[in-house]
Order: sequence, then structure tokens, then C-alpha cells
Amino acid sequence: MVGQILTKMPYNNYCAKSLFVLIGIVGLATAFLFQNFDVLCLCFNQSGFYDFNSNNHNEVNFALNKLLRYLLNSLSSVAIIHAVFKDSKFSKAVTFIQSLVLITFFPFFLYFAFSDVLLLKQLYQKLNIILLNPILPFILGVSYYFKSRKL
Amino acid sequence: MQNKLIVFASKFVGIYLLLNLLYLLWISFLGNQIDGISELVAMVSQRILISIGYDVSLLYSDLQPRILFYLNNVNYITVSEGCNGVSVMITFFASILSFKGAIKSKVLFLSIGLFGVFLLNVLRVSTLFYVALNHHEWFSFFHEYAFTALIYTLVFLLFIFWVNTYGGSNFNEDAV
Repeated sequence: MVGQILTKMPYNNYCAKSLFVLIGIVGLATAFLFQNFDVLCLCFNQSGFYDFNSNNHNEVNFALNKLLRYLLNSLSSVAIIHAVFKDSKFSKAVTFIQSLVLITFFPFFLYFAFSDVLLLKQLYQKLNIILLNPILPFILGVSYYFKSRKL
Repeated sequence: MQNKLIVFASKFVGIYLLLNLLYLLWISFLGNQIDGISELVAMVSQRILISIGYDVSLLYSDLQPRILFYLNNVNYITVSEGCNGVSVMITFFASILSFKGAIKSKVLFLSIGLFGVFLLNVLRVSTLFYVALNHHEWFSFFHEYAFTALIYTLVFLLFIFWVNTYGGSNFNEDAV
């Protein structure tokens, strides 16, 4: 579905391009600013702040919040990449990589998060940095930009 | 293109996870003892704070691997493993290493970049002490958002500089 949207986007339409960039920036900012909030609780008008270290968190809510943040970051990054680089093949490749990372690492990420083993718990915190921040799409974007410029 | 991007992403994630695993094994090996990098960050930050007029003293915790910053017998901030900037350094290291470029340039650039990240982290700790002392209501914002964004921005700018300057010098189809 994302691939179809990416293929159909008109590159020469300035408004569409600006809209994609704006949606991307708002998405990234929202994911960043709401990282310490239980968005699901907020939506259902309950107390929205959660502290994972307090052990009072709901595990299902925790997993869904992390998944939501990952999806929001990934889709926002792809929206920006697509508008900036005007290359649907590259946008699809980034979407594919983000999906692959989600399938490969997300189950381990959750397993580490709920583990009682200290080393795995610490590894969860490290995975948290690259999984739940748009680091990978960004370095892919940078490398692609300069690659296409130099060639 | 997809295969090349997957190779590049795999290299980055692989190096990142491997280095973090080695780092965590080292931390677990130390037990309740504070690691050398955190200690260095705390000591340099203390020097900076003393040089601007805050007579800060450091106290090593017996119970946890932490260093507490005291001023007039009040603890304002605590430096632990998560504050030493190693995670950011590993992100920077993995991104440069997984990208093409001459070994000599990589070693030089990594050294300068890692030093830059260390320096910014020391300034971060010193500023956080100042914020905790004078504007405590802003501490959480600076600690969790502002400095995280700032320090990762530096890493990304360094990566952009690397790809554009050194990484691009021998750029070809195999580069990514």
C-alpha cells in the first residue's frame, strides 16, 4: 500500500511535496515529544505519563506504544525521503528495510524489554536508540543523496 | 539498489549491536565499579564547573556505579553509565565504519569525531549541572529532549561531512 502511494505521488507538484515534508516533520516531532507518554492511555482519557522503570506499566500498552512510535518515525522518514529525493525506488527500498528491521528486531526488542536478565535489559536500552529513533532512514538518506550527486 | 542498501543497513546495525554488546559485557564485568569513560566525563565536567566558579565535589557511590555532583553538601546531578556518551559514539563509529572510505581518513575522522562527541557530552553534563542548580524546572526538558537532539544532530552533521568529503572521494556504484 505504501509502495502504491509512493509510485503515484506527483513529483512536480510543489504543494504535494511540501505537504509530504510537513507531514514528515510533524510526525517525527510528535514521536519525539510524546516518547514518555502512553499515547493509548491519553486517547482514552486516562493518566498519560508512564515510566518504564517504575514497573507500573502495562506490558501490552508498552509494546503498542513502541510499535506506534516505530511506525510513526518510519512513515514520517519515508515521507520526507520521498519528497526530497524524488525517487520512488529509493523510497520503496527504505520502506522495505524499515519493514525488515521491524520483523527481525522488534520481537527481540520486546523480549529484551521484558526480560529480568540485566544484560538483556541493558541491550534493550541500546536497541531502543536505533529502533525508536529515525537514525537508519537518516543515514540511508544522506548516503543516497551524496551518492546520486557524485555520480 | 535495494540489495546495496540492505548490505549497508546490515553493516551499520551489525556493528552497532556488536559494539554495544561488547560495551555492556565490559560494564557487567566492572560490577559496582564506575567505568573509566564515565569517570573521565565526570572529572572533566567538574574541572569546567570549578573554572566557572562552582566549587563542585565528586562523590563515588558505594551501592551503584555512579558519581554524584555535590555543591554545598547538596547533590544536584548524578553521572552513570548512560551519561558517558558511549552510545552516541558507537552510533557515530558504526555509521562511518559501514560507509566506504580510505582507512587512514576513517581513523583520522573517527578520532576527531569521537573527541568532538566527548567534548559536547562534557559540556552537556556541565550545563545540566547549571540547569539543575539554577533552573530545576527545565532540567527534565534539557536532559531528555534538548541535549539528546543536539548531540545526535552533531553525529548526523559529522556523518554528512564524512560522506560528502571523504566518503565521496572514491565513490562508485559499490559505495552503498
